Amino acid sequence: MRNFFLLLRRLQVFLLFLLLQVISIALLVSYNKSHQAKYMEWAYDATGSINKRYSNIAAYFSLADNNKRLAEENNRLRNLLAENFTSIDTSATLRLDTAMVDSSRVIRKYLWRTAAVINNSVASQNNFITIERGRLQGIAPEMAVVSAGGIVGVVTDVSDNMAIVRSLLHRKSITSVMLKNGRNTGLLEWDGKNPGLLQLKGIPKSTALKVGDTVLTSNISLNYPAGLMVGTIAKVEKETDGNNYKLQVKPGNNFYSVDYVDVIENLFLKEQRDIEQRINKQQQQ
Amino acid sequence: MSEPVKQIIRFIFFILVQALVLNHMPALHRFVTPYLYFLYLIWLPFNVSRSGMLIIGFITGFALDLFTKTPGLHASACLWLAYLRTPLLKLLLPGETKELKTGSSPSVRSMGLTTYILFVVMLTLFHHSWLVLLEWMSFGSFLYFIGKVFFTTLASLLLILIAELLFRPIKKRRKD
Repeated sequence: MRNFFLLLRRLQVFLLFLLLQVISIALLVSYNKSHQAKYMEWAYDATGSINKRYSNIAAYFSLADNNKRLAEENNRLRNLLAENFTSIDTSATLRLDTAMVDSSRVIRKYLWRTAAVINNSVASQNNFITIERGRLQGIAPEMAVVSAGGIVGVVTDVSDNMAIVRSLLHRKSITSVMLKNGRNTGLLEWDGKNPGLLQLKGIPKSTALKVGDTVLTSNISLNYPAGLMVGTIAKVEKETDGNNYKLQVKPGNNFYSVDYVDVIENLFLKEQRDIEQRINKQQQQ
Repeated sequence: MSEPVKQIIRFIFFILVQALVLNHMPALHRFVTPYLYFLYLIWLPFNVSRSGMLIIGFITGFALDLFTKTPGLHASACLWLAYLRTPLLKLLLPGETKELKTGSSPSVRSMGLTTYILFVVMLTLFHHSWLVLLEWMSFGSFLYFIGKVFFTTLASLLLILIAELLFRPIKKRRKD
């Protein structure tokens, strides 16, 4: 027994090293599985406040770019105003109030909230964006995040005042998208190599397409509203085996400079989940 | 300024520079990610005990992990660096056990130019190899792994050289 303790004493440094190493790897593996951990919530708030101060200063350097982007987006939205459209029958001009008045029994499905980006990465394999809006401001996991240029990612974890967004530049990110021409749906992924190119799979080779075609979010995506800009096709490759194209998509959003984003909540998400689960259960019985 | 206060200020400085400046560098190439924060561990005094070294290494790595949202990744790499530092010093400076017990820290002045360069290059390489290995574990291509280790190490060594010239000017050089 005494020898055993002597041995422990002699190996104490190595054992401490081993213990800490096992702790680190365990933390890493468990976090990679779920991207949710209670202690990290505290960390988001702590590192978030430092990041916020820094990005307040850094924001001044991109003011001109932001102005331009906002002006472009305003322009696009003004073009969508109902006043720009008239019915062909000139005797009856259609006048619509553009404010969302619930007179025609329209039910809101998506709720948009703006948020400022306070931390952003593109250099790693699994990239995350931190936004300054959290549980207290109505953000929950699985909400979609878009910017003026295109979709950005999905919220994975929230703390009281911060939220973590898994960007499209993440190896586990899978988004259901469709081609604007033809409406074929496929899955958008990232191979972790070039932040300027995403991979679109599952489009059959019979589809007519060319470089430059627009890719939009699909109507069967749970998180995103249908028809949001995703990007454009940059390169068409054919899989050697199998029936599908492998398309390289240039994202519409510039991931190097995301400053302000919109977080979109699907108000029907829970209802859709519930009813689909119910049907699955019935099938199994 | 007393030694602990100096070390704590230096710790905060290194972590903030890494998290707020270097991590935000626009990527030159997917192989190059500049890391500098582990220089804090290299610059620690000779007389830190081995267990103390391990604990400081773990804390340093974990502090950065909180910023990069990869709990355990940098902590694990820093542990390797902390574990191998003392044996490497003993190997590179044989027969100078007395000096290794003083409070001075590894530098060109205390170790000599070639020895110090060897010391820094080896620790940087260990740290980066483990870091990149963990980061790309599920990612396949071996060439990718080697390429990233090589170029990231190169970028770090360049940064270390700049840090050395900025903060620790060489006054009197020890003979090699």
